[in-house]
Amino acid sequence: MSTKTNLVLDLTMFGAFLTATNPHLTGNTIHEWLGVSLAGVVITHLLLHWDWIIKVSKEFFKKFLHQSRLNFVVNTLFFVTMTGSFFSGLMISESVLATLGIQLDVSRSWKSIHTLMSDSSVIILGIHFALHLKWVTTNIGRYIVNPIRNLFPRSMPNVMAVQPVRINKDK
Amino acid sequence: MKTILKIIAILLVAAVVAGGFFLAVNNTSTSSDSVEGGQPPAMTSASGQPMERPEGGGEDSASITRGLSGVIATLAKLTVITIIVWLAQKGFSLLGKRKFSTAHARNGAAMTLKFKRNLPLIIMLTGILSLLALTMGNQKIVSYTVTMETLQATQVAATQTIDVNSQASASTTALSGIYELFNIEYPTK
Repeated sequence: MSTKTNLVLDLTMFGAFLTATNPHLTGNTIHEWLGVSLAGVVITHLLLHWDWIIKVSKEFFKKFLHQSRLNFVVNTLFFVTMTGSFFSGLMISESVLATLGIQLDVSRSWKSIHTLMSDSSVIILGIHFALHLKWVTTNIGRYIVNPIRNLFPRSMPNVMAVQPVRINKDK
Repeated sequence: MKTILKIIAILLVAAVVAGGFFLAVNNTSTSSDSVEGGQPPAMTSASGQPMERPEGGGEDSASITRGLSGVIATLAKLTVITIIVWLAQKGFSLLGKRKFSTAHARNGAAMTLKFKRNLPLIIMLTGILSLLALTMGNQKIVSYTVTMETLQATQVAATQTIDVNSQASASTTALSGIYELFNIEYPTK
């Protein structure tokens, strides 16, 4: 997959994540369905980076002290917290499960877990973003900022009248 | 076909993680129920209505103002965390370069190599400790207002379930302590 596709998917995921972590913006119903959609987008993101996941998993202990291993650990933690958020969200769901005709009688602990996992996801997302900051800034500049900048032609500088130059060939 | 297998693999790992959460919650719920000896007596008012914590508004309602302020708060958190991690990376890389230049001037790069090898672990440890510090403090405190009415209502519920003639239980001891606090005579059969 191209870098541009990756960037578009990541930015979409980021926007959806920001919206999903603030249910007061959308209401509970949209929050739940957005969470379900976000789960699908996360799976797509993992599919796009499948080769990297397999490669680092296989050679994790060969080059243990490497930046990519830190990335792998952070990404694993992110996966765990996001899965915890999705699963606990389903357990306390009112709209999604009702649409599927499922009713669950669950403990109140699931709400606490949902809050804890979503707060942890925000923190780990910050770390994940910081570790990929260079890639994000480079590609936002390449695929978003520069094309917008090129839409506005620069004003041409005043062209000075060309003066003829005489070359002395006496000597 | 390969894509479907990859999706199944991801869902399997997610199911394992979700199963871990489910077992953890079930074990926590079971242990808390066994310690307390079942459901605690319900706090009811004098009229017999169950007491409820006052809430600041429905959870289902949407509010653009609150939502946008939440989004801004989330963005601020992400910015702060990104800056901290970025500064840590810059700091360690500068420290590594400085040590490399001095160590190289002295005797090879043995010390700087050791430092560079420990760098990912240091960043990871910093991240995990920060995560623990930020998440562990986010505990909600649940409190109920104890008044004379609620105490009397609790007395009704407690005397129906507690056998006063048996050995003093933890609940009986706790209730008698509360009654002593408010100078009320503990009912005895």
